[in-house]
Amino acid sequence: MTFNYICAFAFIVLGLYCIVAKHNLFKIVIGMSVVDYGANLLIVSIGATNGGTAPIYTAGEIGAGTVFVDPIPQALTLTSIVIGACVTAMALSLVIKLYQQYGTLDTREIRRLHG
Amino acid sequence: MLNYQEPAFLTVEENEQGAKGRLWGLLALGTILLFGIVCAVRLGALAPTFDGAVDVAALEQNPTAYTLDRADGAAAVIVAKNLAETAAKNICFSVVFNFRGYDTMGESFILIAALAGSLCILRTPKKAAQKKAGELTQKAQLQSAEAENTAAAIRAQEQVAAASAPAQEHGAAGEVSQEQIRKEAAEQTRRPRLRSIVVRCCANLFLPLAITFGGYVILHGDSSPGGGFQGGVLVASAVLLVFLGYGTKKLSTTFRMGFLHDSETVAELLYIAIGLIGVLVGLDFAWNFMIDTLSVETAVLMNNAVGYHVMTGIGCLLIMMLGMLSTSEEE
Repeated sequence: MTFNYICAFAFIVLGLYCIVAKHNLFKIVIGMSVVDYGANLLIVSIGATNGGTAPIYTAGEIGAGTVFVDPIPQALTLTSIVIGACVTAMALSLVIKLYQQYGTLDTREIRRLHG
Repeated sequence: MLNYQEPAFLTVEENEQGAKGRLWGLLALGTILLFGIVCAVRLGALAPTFDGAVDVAALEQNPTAYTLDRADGAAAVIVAKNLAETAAKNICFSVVFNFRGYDTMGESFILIAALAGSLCILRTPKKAAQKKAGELTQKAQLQSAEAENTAAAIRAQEQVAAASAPAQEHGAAGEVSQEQIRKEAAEQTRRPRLRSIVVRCCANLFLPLAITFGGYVILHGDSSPGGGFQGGVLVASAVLLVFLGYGTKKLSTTFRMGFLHDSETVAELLYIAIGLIGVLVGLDFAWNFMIDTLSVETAVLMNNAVGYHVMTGIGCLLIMMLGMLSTSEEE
């Protein structure tokens, strides 16, 4: 499980680096999504059990020793994924509008006031 | 762009301050990563939140006979009570649509809010659209006037071959028309953005597959991985396939944006109505009101409403964004 957690934090830091250091607006939006994925991986990893299967009562597939993983973090992650998609859609429409107004995606150009 | 001089205090000297800022940024990110790894190691040493102490096989045989004495958390209670209370085989499904029905309602409202926000942001103001249309008609009128001029000049040349003034006019007009021809030729050479036949065939092939698979994932949400959200997105990918195969013109004739937008709201109202039946019967919101009489899962209806909601909402968003793509291409 430790590897999962390390990967999750690596994702979050990679996304933060994308947001802070990149000048292209699309790359910043991608960085936001990567932070989102890192958080999702973290939540799912917290609920995981070694040797656990998906929490579904499939007929004929569960036996005496079957162990389920925690279903609650998975349901939370489902919510998180949908909200992440909505946020990305909003951010992308803002990017489209900014490109129409300024003709560029570079944050250094967009910083200035524009009549 | 604008002739705008930045004040001196705003200009950043790239060599010195930029490098310094980059160093600080990297240091901060490195610190976060370090703390994250330390946290990860400590988290990995913790016991899992749910140890799976529930005897799942015995529970499937006799759902109501389970006692909660040994339950050590919400997950154990939910796993144990799932079959007795909801009749859904997929526990994630029952968590999303039964135990946390309110939360899913809020989630659907977030989708509605995202769609409304994107509509507000991407909408072109009416005045600008009218102005653009006016410019286009003016241009067309000018072009027709030029064409008339050319015709008149040709006629004049035929009538009075020796006259100098009409001939000059004809020369000018001829240059203009040649320029036009050149422009059209350039446009035609630029036009091979026509969709390739391979992409179109693949779109034709995968369109029914995507819609059928999405419908399957929606309808089997209670007994297999999946559900309304995932299947809805799969069905909405039909919009992308139509765009890839046929372009934006076909997109606007195939899908009706207003209908999609309305049916999104209708789906949300359906979800709330089905959830409220549980309250009217005397149970909680989004609770299974048929478990005692018929032992079927009523949250399947809510799931289908969410699937309808997501497929129309995401489809609407996609059509909107792809429509923006076409207008910026034309400009």
